[in-house]
Amino acid sequence: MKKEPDQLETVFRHGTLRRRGFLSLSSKVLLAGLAAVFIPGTLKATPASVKERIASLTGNAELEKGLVTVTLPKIYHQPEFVPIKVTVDSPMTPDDYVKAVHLFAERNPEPVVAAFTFTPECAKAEVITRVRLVQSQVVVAVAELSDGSFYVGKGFSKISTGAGSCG
Amino acid sequence: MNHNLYIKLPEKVQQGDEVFVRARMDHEMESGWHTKEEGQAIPPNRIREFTCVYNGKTVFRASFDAGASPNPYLGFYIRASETGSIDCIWTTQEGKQLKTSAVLTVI
Repeated sequence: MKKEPDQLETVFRHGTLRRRGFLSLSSKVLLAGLAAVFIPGTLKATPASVKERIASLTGNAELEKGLVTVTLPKIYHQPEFVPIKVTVDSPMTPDDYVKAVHLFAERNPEPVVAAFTFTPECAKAEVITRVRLVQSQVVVAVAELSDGSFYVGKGFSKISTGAGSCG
Repeated sequence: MNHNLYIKLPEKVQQGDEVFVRARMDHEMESGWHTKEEGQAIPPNRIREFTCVYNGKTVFRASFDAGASPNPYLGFYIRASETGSIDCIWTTQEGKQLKTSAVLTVI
């Protein structure tokens, strides 16, 4: 009868050993898996890198605030299809119109989203499209006007994914 | 994958009106950010450019990059001047052009 606790102990130890072994193994597998998944993610954009890109686009011109409005949903559940509307306040006449609008996502693996070119034949400087946002982040829109000035506008969207995510 | 093209216009417009044009295409727009289970990267496969031509004149252009969604969708405005065709041309990564057109009727 004395052996019973010993046996139990050995079994318990075996169990723990096995569990330890399994844990260490599984953690190694997990780490390897994470490394494999996040290799492309190492190219991640940051707000600073987006600023650099914008500076190279505008030739270090001064960015003015106002005129550009970026409309994004406050919270959204589909990161692949986030609806976005960019509006630039402009009369769109041959003398004064919006030449182009560039969109950047600050925390995507690659920050460039799209660029739109307008002409005076466009009635409004407004475009609606859908963007990919891998996480909650700021989307920057840079508008180039026909007189050579640049205006910047920003919008934020919270991305919530997964079952039962209520924000 | 079938690359279906769609374009939607209002039925009848008056001269000088702002016409809301909607264009869409069925395309996976692979970003190049994903990997397969074996760890190989999936190569990017995207629509590079969109052009809208109204009566033979380029009115609106868009260029897409990795951040654009699958099944790219665009909504934009043009000023109605006369009855004519609106052509939407989508350019793939390989330079292949896919075209769809619709007629804008101006009263």
